Amino acid sequence: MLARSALLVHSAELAANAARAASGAAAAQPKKTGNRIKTFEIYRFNPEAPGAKPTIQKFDVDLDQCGTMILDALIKIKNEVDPTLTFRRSCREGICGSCAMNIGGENTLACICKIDADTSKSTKIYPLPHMFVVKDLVPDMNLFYAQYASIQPWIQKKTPLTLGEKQMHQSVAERDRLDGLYECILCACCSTSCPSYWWNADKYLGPAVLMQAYRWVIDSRDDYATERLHRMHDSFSAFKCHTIMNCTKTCPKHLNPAKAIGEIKSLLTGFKSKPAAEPSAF
Amino acid sequence: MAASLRHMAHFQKALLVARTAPRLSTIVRATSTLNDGASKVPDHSMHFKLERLWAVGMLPILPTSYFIHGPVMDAVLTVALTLHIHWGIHGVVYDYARPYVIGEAAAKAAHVGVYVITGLLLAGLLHFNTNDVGITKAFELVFSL
Amino acid sequence: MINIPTSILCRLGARSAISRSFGTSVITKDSCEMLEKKSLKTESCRLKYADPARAKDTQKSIIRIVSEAKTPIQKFGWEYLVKQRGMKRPIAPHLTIYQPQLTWMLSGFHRISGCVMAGTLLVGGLGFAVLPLDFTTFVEYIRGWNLPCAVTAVFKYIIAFPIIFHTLNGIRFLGFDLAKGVDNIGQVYKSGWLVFGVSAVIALAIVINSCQNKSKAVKTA
Repeated sequence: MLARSALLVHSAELAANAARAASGAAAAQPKKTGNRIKTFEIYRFNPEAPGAKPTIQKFDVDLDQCGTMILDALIKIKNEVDPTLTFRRSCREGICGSCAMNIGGENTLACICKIDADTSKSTKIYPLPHMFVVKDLVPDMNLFYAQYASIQPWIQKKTPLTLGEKQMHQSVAERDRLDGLYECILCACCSTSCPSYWWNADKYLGPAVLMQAYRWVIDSRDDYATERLHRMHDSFSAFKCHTIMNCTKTCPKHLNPAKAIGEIKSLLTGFKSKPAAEPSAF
Repeated sequence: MAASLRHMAHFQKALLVARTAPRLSTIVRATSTLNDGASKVPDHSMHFKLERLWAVGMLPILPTSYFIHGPVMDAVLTVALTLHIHWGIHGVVYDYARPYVIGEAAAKAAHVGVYVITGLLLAGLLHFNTNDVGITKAFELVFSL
Repeated sequence: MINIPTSILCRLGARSAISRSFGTSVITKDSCEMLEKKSLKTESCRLKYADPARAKDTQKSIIRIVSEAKTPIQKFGWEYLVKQRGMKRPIAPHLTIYQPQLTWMLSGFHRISGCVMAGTLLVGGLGFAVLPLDFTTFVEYIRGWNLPCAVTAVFKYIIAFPIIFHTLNGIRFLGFDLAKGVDNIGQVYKSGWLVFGVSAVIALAIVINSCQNKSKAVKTA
């Protein structure tokens, strides 16, 4: 009886596989087994091993048994090959910024980065460049977060207001000025693509933080633009941007930190000034 | 289970009280962000502006120097180039000669070295212009080879 | 009664510690100055004990901190770097693994061309000042090699191209500093290729012109 049930289970499995294969064939081309094996070369570092040194480990993944995104491959490797492979991930839809890493030489989000289906080439996966590595693909983000906190990312008013009395007026044009700035998910892809930030992360704020600083400077509801700019007026905080442009190239959300930094420089040098807030009708 | 039910009841009661109570006029204090040490660092904005304006000023000089030669052009080029190179080398040295990598002492030495290099450059170019052929003539000679 | 997990409390505590060191919740000038003095003191203490190799020049480093005038976050940044190094964490690879892109390749060449040209002027200027050799003799010596124009053209191109590229890219970078021509990465790439192309063409024109002048001079001589 056990043997018969085992046989039933086995045949059910075969049937399921055949059904999957058939549906695959119906959807696209005929299913190719085993000839879409992609090699991933992944940076490994285990802090717990004595005298640990970073290494590169190769993993093979059957692309026919894997989702289309790099994160799918990483999860598959972690599930089936090496459970010690460590990486950050959360939303799997490119909005949380957790899975930011260097894939194929470019900083992007693993969950929205398609696997290059060319199986003759391997895909190299590294942690975000020039960050201190905690383990494998996980960098320490504390300086980045502290720099973000230092720009005081909240509304500051000069006149006290009573919450709930009336709305803080902002015209449509004024709100449009925040488009392309507020959408930043703080993944740090841009800052860690910037050679200037590589060399001077302690003193240069980096594109992500600078773009957010600009977002608060030009917000018409904020009254402390002068003080915000004043906080960045030294030779390193903002001015160490050498207009390399890696940031705008690499942003996975297609934002433009380089432009924001140019605007900051214009404001600091007096070439441009923040327009006065439009008076409200109510 | 019973404890969480009690918590729920307590929470709901609190919520009801909060909803029916008169609205609190929370006055948001005007926050001052001035006193956070940033005022102690020197303002680099005007220096940056000057650097860029100087570079803009150099833009007409370079193509002109292709056509107009002589000691005056040599002098103009020397002054323009020396200051531009000084600021350029300053940026490069401050980028790479970092205390984290080479230590505080070496970084300080490198920062002083920038001024030494600029001094030597100026001396060399002035000597070349007065005691030798001069920059524009030198280019003429090289491009006549 | 809502139980706040200790993890959240710790994070809140940490955040307020950071905000305190940046003086965000400070209202009066006096309390801020007091905090600053305190943070300077703790910083020197940390320097003394965290990095024993530098215990000797604690005095010097206190003076250096004051004279370097860092913002609070920059002070935090330095301490962060020292602490991370103490944890023996490796730094993730950068130059060796980052994809070569027009953005940083052109920027790198802009910097390299500037440094090489400056170096040439420095070595040349000092060299001809110090050595018992003058420039005319040097050029005539090379003229004595009777190199064909094709060979000298290569060297002339190597001299001309960096000058013209650095100048034209300089204009492009000045635009970037004013947020001009950075509306999208497409614009950045277009201007980049344009600058590279135009520089190559102008440098070529100059070199060809010089070769033509040379052959004219040879014919009339």
